Amino acid sequence: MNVIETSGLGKRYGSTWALHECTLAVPAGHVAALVGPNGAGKTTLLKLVVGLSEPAAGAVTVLGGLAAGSLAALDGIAFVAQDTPLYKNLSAADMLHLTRNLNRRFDQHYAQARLAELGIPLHRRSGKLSGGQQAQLALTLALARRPQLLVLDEPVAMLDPVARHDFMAVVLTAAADDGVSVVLSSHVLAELERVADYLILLSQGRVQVAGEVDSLLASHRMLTGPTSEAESYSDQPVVHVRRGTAQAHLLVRATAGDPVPPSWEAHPVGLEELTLAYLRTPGAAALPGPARGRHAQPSEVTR
Amino acid sequence: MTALTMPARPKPDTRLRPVPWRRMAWVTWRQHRAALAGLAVFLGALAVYLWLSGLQMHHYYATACHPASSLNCAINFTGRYGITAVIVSIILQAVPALIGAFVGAPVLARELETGTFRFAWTQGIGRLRWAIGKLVLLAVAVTAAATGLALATALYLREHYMTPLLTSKLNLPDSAWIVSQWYTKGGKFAFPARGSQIVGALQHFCPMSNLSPMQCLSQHGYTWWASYHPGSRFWPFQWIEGGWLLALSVLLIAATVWLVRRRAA
Repeated sequence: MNVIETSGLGKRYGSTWALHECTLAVPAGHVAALVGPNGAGKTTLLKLVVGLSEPAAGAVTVLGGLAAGSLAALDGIAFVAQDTPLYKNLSAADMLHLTRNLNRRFDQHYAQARLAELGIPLHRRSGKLSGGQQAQLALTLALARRPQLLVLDEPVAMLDPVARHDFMAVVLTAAADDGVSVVLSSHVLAELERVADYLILLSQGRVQVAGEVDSLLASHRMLTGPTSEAESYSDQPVVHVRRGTAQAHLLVRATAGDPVPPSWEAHPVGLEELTLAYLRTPGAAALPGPARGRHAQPSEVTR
Repeated sequence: MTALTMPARPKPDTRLRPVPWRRMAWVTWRQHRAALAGLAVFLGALAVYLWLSGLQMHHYYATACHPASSLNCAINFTGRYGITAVIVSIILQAVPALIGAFVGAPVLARELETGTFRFAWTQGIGRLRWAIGKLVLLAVAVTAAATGLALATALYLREHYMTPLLTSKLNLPDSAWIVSQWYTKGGKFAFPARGSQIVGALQHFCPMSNLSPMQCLSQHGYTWWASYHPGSRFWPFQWIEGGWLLALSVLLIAATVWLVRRRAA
């Protein structure tokens, strides 16, 4: 089952396409990271997925074919929006009560146990909680709905490193123990390395990279060699070139078994490195084949 | 951090029953109880004020207006309470707008302002049920409060300041609603039947008389004219006015629901 499936999805604000020709399939059971520069369309895509806005072009379905924003889709998806909006004048206990009343399912026991474990006072107004506690409260409300898909928009952007770590630990627990699929957008690349096993890279309203992290990493290598030879390298498709005075680093589409030219050294590549290289080369793309799911491997690289 | 796992997720229902309407009652009450309580206090205070001034006016009317058509009654009673009646009627006209501003507008505006619509509209209940549930409950509460005030007004105040109007004699029945009255002499407009001119004329022509103003002035060649709506138009007027207000309310509620559904944030 694909938790998110889009085809030719587009969203326009005025004359600007915030999202354009977005075709994507995110399989269930992943923690998928949605990455991209500011204005790449991350929030726009997530809003379309949770039914907060309507597409201007194309289609988006969730949880194996449900229309985004339909009652069945809302029932199975929990969304934590950017800056974790809560009713600031309501206490944590009231927020639980309110969320329970707004949903068919709500695990009150789980929610209360989690808040107790986090040391969040039930009777304090949510506006008086710290930023980390507000984020944890919003996440608790979302998970207590027992969703099939958890959608998080920049959940840790405002948090300090400890709160960020604690927040992601909860997300990972939900994903690992309860099989919740997660899609989260983030600027914090270092964090993604630890949590994400699926990567979606948006750039200028289009999908630039999409795929499982393991297969993306296995199909890219970093080559280090003399800068003078960087231009002439053509054995494998080059995604990105970083030139130093003496040495150049090439991110190439190659597997561990591929031959390396004599003056070059090959290293495996990390997720952060790979993401940065693609972010710096908006023209390059690594996408699953045209019919989604048929090719697991990235099939196309252009410069 | 220790892992706290959730119990196994129930199998997804094949037919999805929506979240019951009654759940919105708690949500609406919790989120709007301060505004509703404020409204109750405001309308209650207004009702008490109207009741007290009604009693006072009733008492004064009983002593000053014998007979009701006397000049003494017309000048003193109206002079004493005319301003109060104008102020109260202005307040009463502003009440619906105030209720709209303090109870109605925040339903949507606050959600959009604080960004909490992104929370509310992604819950399982769905934004349509959320909007209709809130609007219906708030409309019922506000209507009940306003009806209470309207009853208080009708029972304690209205009869008192309707009675002293100068509706004497000729063919005009007491139930008529006189819009304005004036006097003519020799076929030409002389003065309106209110204000300083008529007081001056009456003091000039009939300074010590017990005659009604109309009797006094007609003896001196003035003719009384009045424009009025017959009393039988009362209910048609009420229905017309109520109909327009109802249509406006329905329009505004529909616009709110439409905005909630369409909102492409």
